[in-house]
Amino acid sequence: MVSQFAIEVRNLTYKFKESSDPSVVDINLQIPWNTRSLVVGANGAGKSTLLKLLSGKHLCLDGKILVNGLDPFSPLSMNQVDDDESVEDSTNYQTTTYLGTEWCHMSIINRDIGVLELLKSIGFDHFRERGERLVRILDIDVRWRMHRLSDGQKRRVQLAMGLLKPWRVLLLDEVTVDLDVIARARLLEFLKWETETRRCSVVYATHIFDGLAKWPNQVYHMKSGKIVDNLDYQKDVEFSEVVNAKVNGQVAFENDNNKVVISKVNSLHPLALEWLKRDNQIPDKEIGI
Amino acid sequence: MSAPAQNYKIADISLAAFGRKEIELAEHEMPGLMAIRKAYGDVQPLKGARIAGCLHMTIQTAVLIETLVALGAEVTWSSCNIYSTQDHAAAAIAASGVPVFAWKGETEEEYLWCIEQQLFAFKDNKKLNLILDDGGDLTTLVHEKHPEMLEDCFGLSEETTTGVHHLYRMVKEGKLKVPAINVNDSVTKSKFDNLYGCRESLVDGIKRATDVMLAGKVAVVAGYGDVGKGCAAALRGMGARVLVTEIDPINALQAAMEGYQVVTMEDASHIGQVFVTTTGCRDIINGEHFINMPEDAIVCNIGHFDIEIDVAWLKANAKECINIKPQVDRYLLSSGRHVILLANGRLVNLGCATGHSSFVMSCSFSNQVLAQIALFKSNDKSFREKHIEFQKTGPFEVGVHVLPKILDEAVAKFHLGNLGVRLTKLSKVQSEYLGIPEEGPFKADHYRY
Repeated sequence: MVSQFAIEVRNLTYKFKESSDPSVVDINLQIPWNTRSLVVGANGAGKSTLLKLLSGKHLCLDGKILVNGLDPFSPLSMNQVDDDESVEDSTNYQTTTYLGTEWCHMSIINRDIGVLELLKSIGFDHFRERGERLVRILDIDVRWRMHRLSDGQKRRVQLAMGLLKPWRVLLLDEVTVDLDVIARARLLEFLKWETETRRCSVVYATHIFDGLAKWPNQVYHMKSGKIVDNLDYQKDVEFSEVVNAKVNGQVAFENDNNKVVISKVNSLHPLALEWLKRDNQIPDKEIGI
Repeated sequence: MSAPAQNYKIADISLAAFGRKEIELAEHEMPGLMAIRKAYGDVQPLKGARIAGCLHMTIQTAVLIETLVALGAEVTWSSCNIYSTQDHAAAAIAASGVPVFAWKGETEEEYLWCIEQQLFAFKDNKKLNLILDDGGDLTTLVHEKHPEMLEDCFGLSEETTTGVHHLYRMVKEGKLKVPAINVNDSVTKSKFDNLYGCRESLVDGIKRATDVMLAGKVAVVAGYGDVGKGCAAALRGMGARVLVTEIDPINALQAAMEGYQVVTMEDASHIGQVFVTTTGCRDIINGEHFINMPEDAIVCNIGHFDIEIDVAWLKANAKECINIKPQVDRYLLSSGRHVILLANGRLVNLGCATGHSSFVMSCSFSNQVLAQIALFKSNDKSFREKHIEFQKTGPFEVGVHVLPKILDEAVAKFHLGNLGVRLTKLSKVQSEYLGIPEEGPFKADHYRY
């Protein structure tokens, strides 16, 4: 059967062995299919821990996590056959994909190995069409050698590798920070398209909010391991032309409901985007798929 | 290469290509395993074998796993230590189609979860019929929690001293349910692994962790078994002044006759600057000793279990603990002095370095492969007659067995070519004179090298 929610969490608490306090406390969550969720919070609020638990990187003993209706820690859940796909199709999906900052910091990836070789090692030939789309979107030259890449180029390689095999739930943990504005815009547009065209969802934790005004369906605010705010984007968030705004990006909370009104924000993002479009002679329509 | 495994849990599959490159290098340094593939590949002696392996998931182990697969076996794997997994090795093995459940930095709960998973990861939900163990955790778990899996099991092979001790204890308590081959006591395993392996990997671990110069320092080696002999030789070779502690009078006398001073840990703890435990026992270094140690004494273990050094005491009683870098912790004691603990009291050569060199592991793992073949083919009379080195192997009773001398010698033979050795052959006349077959074995079982 197809699960009702992409992610369902009940009473989740997780403490690292060396810590005195839990990193994540009493989380309850239901994330629908075909959605893009944003996770916001201070450094140390528990965003990364939550995403890693949802991806099955840690064995959680306290609380329940279901992703695609299954325990994400179990390897068997990674290739479950769902009712809406054939057995053959099921080998072409994995339940969760987690992409975090740590991949680019591992010394092993600075060895002399070709990007094409890396992509082939995880199924580039099998997912050829999808792989080529990712290479194009992320502007990767498959002849690149890993030991000669900039941080941003390594990040593109990581994303192409990580996204190559189709996923049901994608967990992005501040993984776009090294990308230029063009690459980031293209990636976000691709992910939006994915969630609109097939059964999947994205959860994205970040500190960089430029270019995200139209992107999420849901915003979760974490503090001290807890989810303290939960906004339904369409219902609760309004962008308004507040003529008399006293500050750049004034925020008004309406106390009688969950609504948030945000005034116009000055940002250099459009300028950076326009410069890079011109620098690389990229037509406007090319930002999209 | 077969289809990618669908059932595995590792840190990061994207590291597979990096692991594959190192495996290719390791193959050249593991001539025994490569020679075994060549010698038995056509025969496929492990076809139908379903081997559950619990052994450090490293690049060298990847070559072992692929050798078992090349001989026809279906294999599942977990690590026998929560820190020893090389994540790129695990990735390469998972990518090659073997269910592997291991990643560096497992929690204790995850460690046991991994062993459980591998038991249920064989094709068509079949049960294991062979166990390849290191330290006994897999053997213990199967005996205690899943004894039904032992009904059609041909047996197990055990890699290390502490695991073998556990096996003998199980025999004594009447708990062992299948034949076990004590691979550890093969000469080409214990002597080579412990002596030559530790001789190189101990200093490798200490130096990567601390960059310390060993020349002139007082180094204390607890235990003078094979591991201790290797460690003492390495430290002395680096110019350290080596003290040995030992309970066994024969080993103690051996140490003295090698020129080491044999003392108690109570004596040594005052003056030792580097401490290495090798005994496979517990509480070799405890609070009483820590308090005595000079400033920044380095303490590490190269025996299998992490209770050789009383780390719990250290954590409970230290005034402060600073993690200098991964696997290097500096504790401030009530004495006002510091102690540097490597790999949290676990295997220093795996936690702080990459374990034994590939060649030494090739000797060790070749024994494992031959042991698995011996167990699996123990009732196959025609196989044993055709391959003379397996003539005396099996049928095995429930109990702990050692590989016959001729197989031990076979392991050595598989390695000679790589070192340019040209072996002298017994002539017919010499063979008759000595009463030794031309093909071996050349020594009696009780001979100690």
